[in-house]
Amino acid sequence: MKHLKKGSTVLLIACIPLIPLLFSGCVSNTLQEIREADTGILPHETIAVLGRKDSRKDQTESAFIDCLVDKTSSGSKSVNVISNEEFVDQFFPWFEPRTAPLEVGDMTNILKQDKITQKVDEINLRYIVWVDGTTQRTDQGGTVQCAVATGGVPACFGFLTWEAGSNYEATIWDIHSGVSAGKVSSEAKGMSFVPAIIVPLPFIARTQAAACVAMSKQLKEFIDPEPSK
Amino acid sequence: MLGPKRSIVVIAMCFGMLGCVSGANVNKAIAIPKPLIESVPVTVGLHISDNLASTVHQESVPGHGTYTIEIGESQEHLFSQVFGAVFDDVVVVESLNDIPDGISAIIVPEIELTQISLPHLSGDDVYEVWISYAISLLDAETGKSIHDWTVQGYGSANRNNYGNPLDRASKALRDATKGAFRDAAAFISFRYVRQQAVYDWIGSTQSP
Repeated sequence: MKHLKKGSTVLLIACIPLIPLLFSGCVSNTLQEIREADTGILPHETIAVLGRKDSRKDQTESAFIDCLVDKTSSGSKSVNVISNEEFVDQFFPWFEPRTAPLEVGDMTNILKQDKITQKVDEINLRYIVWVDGTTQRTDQGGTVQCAVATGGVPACFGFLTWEAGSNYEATIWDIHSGVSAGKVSSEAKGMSFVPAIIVPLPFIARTQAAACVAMSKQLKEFIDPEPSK
Repeated sequence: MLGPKRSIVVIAMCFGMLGCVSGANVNKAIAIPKPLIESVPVTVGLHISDNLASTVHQESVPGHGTYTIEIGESQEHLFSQVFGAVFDDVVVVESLNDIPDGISAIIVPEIELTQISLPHLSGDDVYEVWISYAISLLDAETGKSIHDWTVQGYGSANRNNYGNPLDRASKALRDATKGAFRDAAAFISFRYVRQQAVYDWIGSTQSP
């Protein structure tokens, strides 16, 4: 029986990192869309999802870009997506932080290069989606303190809370017509908290994941507004 | 099976290890793609000096360990890729005293300065690398300088993009170094042949 109790304690400690998978804080999401041109996509055409890297500090997290690529290329109304790394390698050095086009007009000039045009045709590139934004902690309070109690068992007490905001905007360039087709934005806010009475129980608001899922749905709808068959 | 006390000791050791992780080592060659640009119909030589090929940047930060970047290993690849795109053909010249026929000029790059910045030094989340290159174009026959140029490459990597604290610094510093290589390569790709002396030299190779 004593062994069983010790075993349970060890199991409980080992399971603590898994608790966030069971609980999550509340997240609210706001989506916005600005359409500047009609859109549509053929089954063989591709979109490139790229993160803006011209800012030194506030670069979009690679996890968000990877998530957006994954969610946009799967599920209902999925489209062919070329990832950021693959695209910038194939078009090196035209999309590096110091050389990437900032306006759609600059892109039109780049497309005058024969080698670029050939590569665009080779991968059937139709849209470039520029993603800007980050996830940041906006407010936090409280503390959780942990110590080893009598008998060698660690125990934590306290209450920790923080608010996170994920703000992302995607600008869609239509490569065929050389215009900006519009913008979609996703803003997710959420409060996370960790009450601790012996064992800390984290309730994490996954704002970045929520913003990614919402933006990928919105992006697919924006690019292909036709109802799915 | 570990008892609870031993488990706690193991867990404590794990956290202790995480707390003690310091320094970083970038010791594998870094590859860059060949630039997608129109080349100039000229064959040039490329000489990578022993000094450049063995360049290692090392900085010890008190309380945070030693940060080492083995830059030299990647340089022949980097400049072969870049100048192989800028010009029709690039021949690697092992010695400046033994230049193959058919080459009218040789490019000799060197590193003038390397600097790094770390999150705990700058106070933000970014690892940064700056590399300043001096690139000389030498006349193959006389050895005299045709053109000297300084190019800077800058790369950064946000530590929040790397999950595992055990190798976060090494991975981020490697990506920042790769960014600096790519930045310098991009700059050379677009600007090298526009340098007046280089432009004039290319013109002289085309004349009948």
